[in-house]
Amino acid sequence: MKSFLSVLCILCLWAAPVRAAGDGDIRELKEQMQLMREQFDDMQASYEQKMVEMQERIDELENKQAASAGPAKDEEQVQQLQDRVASLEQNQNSNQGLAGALNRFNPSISVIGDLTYHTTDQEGGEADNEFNFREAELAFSANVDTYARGDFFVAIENEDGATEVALEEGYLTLLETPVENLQGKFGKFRPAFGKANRMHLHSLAWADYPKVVQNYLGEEGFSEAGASASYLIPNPWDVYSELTLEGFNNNDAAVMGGASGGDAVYLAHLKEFFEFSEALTLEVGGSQMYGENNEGEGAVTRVSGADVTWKWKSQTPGSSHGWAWQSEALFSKREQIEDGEDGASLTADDLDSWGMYSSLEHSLTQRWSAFGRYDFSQMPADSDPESRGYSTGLTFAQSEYAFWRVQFTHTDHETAEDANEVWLQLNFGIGPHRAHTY
Amino acid sequence: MKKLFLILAACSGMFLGIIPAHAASKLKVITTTMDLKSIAESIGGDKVDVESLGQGNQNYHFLAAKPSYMMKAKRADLFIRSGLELEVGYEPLILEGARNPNIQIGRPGHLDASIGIAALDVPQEVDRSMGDIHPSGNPHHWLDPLNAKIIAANIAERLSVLSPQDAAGFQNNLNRFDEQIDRKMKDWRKTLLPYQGERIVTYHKSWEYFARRFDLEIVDELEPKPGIPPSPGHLKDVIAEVKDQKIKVILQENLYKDDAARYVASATGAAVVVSPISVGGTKAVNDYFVLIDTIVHAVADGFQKADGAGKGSNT
Repeated sequence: MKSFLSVLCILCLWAAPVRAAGDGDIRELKEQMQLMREQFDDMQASYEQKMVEMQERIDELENKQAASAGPAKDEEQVQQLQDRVASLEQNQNSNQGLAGALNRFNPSISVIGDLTYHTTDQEGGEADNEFNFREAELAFSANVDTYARGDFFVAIENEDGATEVALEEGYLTLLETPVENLQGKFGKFRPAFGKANRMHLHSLAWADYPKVVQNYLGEEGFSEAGASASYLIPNPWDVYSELTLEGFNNNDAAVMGGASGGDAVYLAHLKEFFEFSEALTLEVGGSQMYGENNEGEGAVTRVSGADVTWKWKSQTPGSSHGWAWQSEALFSKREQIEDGEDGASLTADDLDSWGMYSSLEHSLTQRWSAFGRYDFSQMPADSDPESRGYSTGLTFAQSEYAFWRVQFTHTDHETAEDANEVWLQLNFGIGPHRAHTY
Repeated sequence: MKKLFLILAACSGMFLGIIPAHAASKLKVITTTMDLKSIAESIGGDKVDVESLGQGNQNYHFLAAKPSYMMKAKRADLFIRSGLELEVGYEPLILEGARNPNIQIGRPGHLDASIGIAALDVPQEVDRSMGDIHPSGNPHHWLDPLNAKIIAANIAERLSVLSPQDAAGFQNNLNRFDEQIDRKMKDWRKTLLPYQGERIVTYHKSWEYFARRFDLEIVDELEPKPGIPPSPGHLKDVIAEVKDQKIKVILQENLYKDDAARYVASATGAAVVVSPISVGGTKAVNDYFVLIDTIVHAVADGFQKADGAGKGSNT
C-alpha cells in the first residue's frame, strides 16, 4: 500500500509540470491549428480562383479554335474533317459534287395520304362501305426566283373505283410587286371564298368538308385557274386587314349554276384578324362571288359568305389546352331569266338559298382533340330540300405528321331518309410540307 | 360588284392618308425569341425598339404564324431569327405574309443569330424516325453564355450596317456586354465548380450547350427521342441509369409537365430542377443575365438538395 501511494505521488508530481506544460502546448497547438485553418482557407480560395481563371482561358482557346477550325477538338476529329474535305473535293472533281450542289435547288417535296373507311345506314347512300385510299396529295414548293414562289399540288384520287390524277393547285405567287403591300397569285388555286374552301383535306379538323361547302362549292371545295391580288390594307391600328380580289374561270357548275363558257367569276374577300392577347384571337371574313349562270341570257349568280373563327390557346407552360370555334354562312342568289312570248326576256324569281356550319374543336392534350360540328344546308338549285347534320369526332395525332380520326355524323334530311355515318380516317405525310395558314 | 370594288378601294385610300409616319429615329427590330430581344436591347440601347414574336413561356419550336406576327414583321427594319431550324415551321409564312422586302432572307434586314456558333448534335443522317431533330444541329445555343457573345457580335455588326452613324455606340455596347458576360462567367463558374463533371438527366435535348460550358455530363433524356413524350418503358431504363450512375439531378425546362421527372425522382432520390429556359420564362427572368443566373443557381441548389438529403447512394 505504501509503495502504491509512493508511486502515485511520484506520478502526480511528474504529471504536474507535464500538465502545466500541456496547457500551454494545447493553447499553442490551437493557435497553430487556427493559423493552419486560415492558411488552408486562403489556399482553397486561391485554388478556386486559379481554377476559374484556367477554365476561362480554356474557354477562350476553345472559342478561337471553334471560330477558325469548327467543332473539331482532337486529332481524331481533325482527321475525320480532313477526310471529309478530301471526299468533298473528290466529289466535286468527279461531277458527283456538281449534281449534289444542284440537288440543293430541288423543291420541297411531300406526299400526304388519306385513307378512310366510311359507312352509312342510308339506303343508296354514297358511302363506300369499304376502305378507300381517298387521296394522295403530292406537294412541290420552292422559290422560283427572288420575286416569286411556285407551288404545285397534285391529287391522286380514287373516284368510284377509278384512279384520277388532277392538278389540284399550281400557281406562282409574286411576293414582291411594284405596289407596296400587294402580292399576286397566278395559276390554278382554291379561291379565297370563306375559310374552309381554302383548306386542304389533311388540314381539316373533320373527316369531311362541311355540307354547305360540299353542296355549293364541291365535295372538297373547288379550285380554278385565274389570277388573284391580295393587298394588306395599312391602318393606324396595325390590324391585319387583307383585301383579296380574284378573277377565275367560270367552269364549275356547282358554284355558279352552270357555266356560260368563257366568262369569269369575280370574287372579293376581306379578312380581318384581331389578337386580344397571346391566348385569344378572332378572324372575321366576308366574301362575295359574282358570275353568269346558265339560267338564261345575262342571268348571274351572286354568292356571299361570312366567316368567323375564334381561337384560344392556354398560355400555361406545359399545357396543350385550346379551343377553336369556326363558323361560316353562305348565301346564294341565282337569277333566272326566261324568254317571254314576245321574245323579250323576263326575269323569273331569283332562286335564293343558303347554308352554314359551326364547329367547336377542343385540344385536350398535345395529341388528342375532339370536335362537334353543326351543319345546315339547302341546295343551290333548289332551296326546298334542307338537311341538318350533327357531327362529333375524336382525333389522335401520333405526331405532327400523322393522325387517326373517328367521326360520327347524323343527318336529318327534309326530303329523304335520315342518315347515320361513321368515318374512320388515317392521314399521314412524308417530306417537308409548308405550314398551314393560321 | 364594280361598286363594291370601288368602295373598298376608296376605303383603302382613306386609310393610307392617316397612316402615321414611320419613326425614323429608332430601328424597329423583331426577334423570334425573348433571349434575342434581351441581347438586341443590350447592343442597340436607345437606338432600337425591339419586340419578340415568341414569349418566354412558349415552346419556340411550335409558334403559329399568326397574321398579327406578320403585321409586326411588316414594320421591321431587322428580323432576327435564332437559327438552326428553330423557326422552320413558321418563319417562311411570316416573312411572306409581312410583305416587307427589307427583311427577306439574304437581305441586310434579315439576320440568323447562329452565324459563327459551333453547333452541337449535328446529325450524320436525318430521318423522322429519329424524332424531332434539327438537321443543322441543336438549336438551344443561347444557353451557353459564350455563344451569347457571338450572337451579340452578329447583332452589333448588322445594326451597324443598317445604322452606320450609330456603329460606334453599338460597338461600345457590345464591349460592355462582353465584359459583363466575362464578369458573370466568373461567378457562374464559381457557383457550379463543386459540381464539375457531375452527371445529370434532362427532359428534352435542350441543355447540351449549358452542360458543355459548365462541365456537366448529360447521360440521358426522359424523352426516348426528341419531341416524343416519356414512355413507361423508357422511364424504367432511365431509373436504372440514375441509380447505377448515382445521378443526383434531373433538369428540365418549365415548358413541360414535371410528372415524368418526379416519377423518376421518387424512385431514385434524385432532385428535380425545373427552370425557365428563356428570358420571360418566369416573370422574374427579365433579361439574359438573370436567365443564366437563375439556371445556374437552380442547378446548384438541386445538387445541394440532393447532397443534403443524403440520397446520393440511390439505393
